[in-house]
Amino acid sequence: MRRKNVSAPALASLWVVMAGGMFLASCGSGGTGNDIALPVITLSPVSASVPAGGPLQFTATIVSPTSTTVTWSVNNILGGNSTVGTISSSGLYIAPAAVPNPATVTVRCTSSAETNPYGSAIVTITPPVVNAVVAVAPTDSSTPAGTSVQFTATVTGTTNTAVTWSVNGVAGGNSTVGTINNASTAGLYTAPTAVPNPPTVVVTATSQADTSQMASTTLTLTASNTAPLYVNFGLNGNTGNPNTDYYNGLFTTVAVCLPATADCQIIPDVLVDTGSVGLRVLNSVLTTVPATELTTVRDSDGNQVQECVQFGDTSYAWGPALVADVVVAGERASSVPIQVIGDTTYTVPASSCLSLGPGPSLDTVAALGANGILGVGSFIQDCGLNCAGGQTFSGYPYYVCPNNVCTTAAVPVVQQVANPVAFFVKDNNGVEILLPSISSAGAPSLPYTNAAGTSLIPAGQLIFGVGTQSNNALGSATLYATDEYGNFPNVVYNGASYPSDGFLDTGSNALYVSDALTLGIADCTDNPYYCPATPLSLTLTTYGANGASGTVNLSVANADTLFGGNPGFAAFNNLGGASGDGLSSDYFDLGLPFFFGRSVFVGIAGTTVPNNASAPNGYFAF
Amino acid sequence: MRTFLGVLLILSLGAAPVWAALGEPESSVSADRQILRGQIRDEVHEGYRLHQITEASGSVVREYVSPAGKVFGVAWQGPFVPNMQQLLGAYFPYLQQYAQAQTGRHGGPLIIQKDNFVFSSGGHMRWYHGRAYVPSLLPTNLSPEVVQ
Repeated sequence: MRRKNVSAPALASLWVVMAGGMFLASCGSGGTGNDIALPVITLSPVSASVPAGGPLQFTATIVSPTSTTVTWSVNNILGGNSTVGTISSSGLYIAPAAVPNPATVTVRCTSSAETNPYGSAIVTITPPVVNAVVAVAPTDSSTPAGTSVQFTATVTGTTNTAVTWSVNGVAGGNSTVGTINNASTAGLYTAPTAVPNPPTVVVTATSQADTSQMASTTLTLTASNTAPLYVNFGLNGNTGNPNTDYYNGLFTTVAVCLPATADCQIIPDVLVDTGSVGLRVLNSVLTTVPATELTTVRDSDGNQVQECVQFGDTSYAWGPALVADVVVAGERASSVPIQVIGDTTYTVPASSCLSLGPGPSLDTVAALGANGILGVGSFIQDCGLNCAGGQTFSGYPYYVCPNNVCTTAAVPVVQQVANPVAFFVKDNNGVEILLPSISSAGAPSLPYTNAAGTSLIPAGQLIFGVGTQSNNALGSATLYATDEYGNFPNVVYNGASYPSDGFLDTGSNALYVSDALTLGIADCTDNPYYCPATPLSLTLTTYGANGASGTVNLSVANADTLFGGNPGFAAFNNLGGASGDGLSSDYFDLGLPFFFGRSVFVGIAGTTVPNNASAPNGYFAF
Repeated sequence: MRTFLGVLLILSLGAAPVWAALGEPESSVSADRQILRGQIRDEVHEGYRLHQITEASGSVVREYVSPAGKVFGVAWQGPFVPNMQQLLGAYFPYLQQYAQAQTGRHGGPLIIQKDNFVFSSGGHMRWYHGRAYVPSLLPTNLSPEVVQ
């Protein structure tokens, strides 16, 4: 006989073959012999798996000499139930929502004929299928050792959005690779206090509804005392105008927090400046941690202290001194006075900023090219004892403004705007600036990744502390104790001495050295830098107050060639410009080009000096 | 080059320093009188006279006076910037004008070289350095390099 198998569940499943004698002789496997008097029922499939809640269509093939009716049951329960699953009169089985125990059930199709012959099938109910899709954020991030990152997982395709967090495949992580919460504040990752080897971990969120579904991201762990350094055009970008563009801008990210709280605002694009002291942030940038919520610094009469800070190029910054916690990498400076610049509560006093430095007011992103300045120079405070006793000299920076009239005010040293590094719990005696080497033709930026996604130049590193960790040892660097002003006590160039006329300054964007006539080269005619016919090599001899001396080799290339050759490049290790208008005004302001390919230390006056060197006024080492 | 020869040295301690402004007569110094305690040193050199004021902060201001009695150059050095308006007098507007125009040398010194006004200023926090002079007021046969 011919058997007809139908597998499509939408089709009728009950096939009663009213074959009569002519078919019986050829009855197949469902038959019991040539003298079949009763129906023979076979089910298809005879065994199957179905996910909880899922459908399964059965087909019954009945070989019968007479008409017959059938009933369907599950585990001998007519029509089944919610525990073992239900089955319809057409053989459509719906598995229970939860996997029963045991997980197998028996489906029967029973004939109403005498002796109730039946066909049966075994069904295994499997865990439910969910189309869970998991995503985690943030992706491909980095964090300093000992700090925390809150990860979030988004689960779609199922009502059960719970996930299990793991680190390097270990649920909840461990002390080596870091831990991640699976209970309250789920997804909160806490990095280990020591950077593991390799320094990357994989954080994974696995769907609890479907453990085959997961999402992972790589997290790079950095030393707790290390912040990345970026070199680029700053927030004003590359406009193609060398008279204004910010070449060799050095930036990092800081967080400003309400003291002793987790209320922090992360502020990227902050200029890193070894030529100034203290954090200065634009008022317009402080939004989630507004300046109005920071603690004020007040004089003995209760007046809020303001400051007018001068820069060497006659630009200035005006605004209040306020107390905040400053977090950089994994280090936190608690209750350190900072300056909020561009605050217009009080008018800039004409007797100070405007008369002292009539240049641009650095009170906007457009004027500053950055969100702020992180001054990590060689002093703890920006003024020191000179400002603790009130005005005794011109150029005094601190003011109070009772009744909107600003006058100079004495500010105790501990209340003055200060170097946040000196306020760190550890690694607080200075910084190391580590920048990779770049080509003499320059580089687009630091870091630099090409279009194919290959990293060609890494970011630099701002490492806190000198000789406090394995990553900030002085090594073979020569330590030059600076003088009371923060300069090399002497620099000799071409036989001429420049006493107290040389310093290292990441906040200067070029090698500002001597003047064009003295160097025998030309100033550029269309930008403020040097344009020698061929690159000029300079050799300086630098001296420290501790008796140290050494040579510094520098190169100054033609700025027109540099800019014209690579219009999109922001980083140059040989960009130079005049420091003075003639021999008597010359000095050596060794800006960012000096730092490429070097490891440079700036030690803070009055802190612990490695190797017991004598450097009471701070030092440079490289 | 960086040492100067004191031909005649007059030291006065604790007196109020007197500042003359660039381009103004030496006799006008009383108009700029500052109530600041400092050390004043007056020197007579061949071809010019020098008034040097050392403030309590350690900042030093030098004013160079021609035989004709006019201040032809000023120089400063130390932890603070002197009051440029006072120091440059009628030439202060030149500084205002040119300082606002120059923005390219981020963090670097400001240098202005015009026919009748030469100015340079630079340094870093706690150490500033600069000078200004008026070429047309420079005494005959005197190099501008005396202004330092």
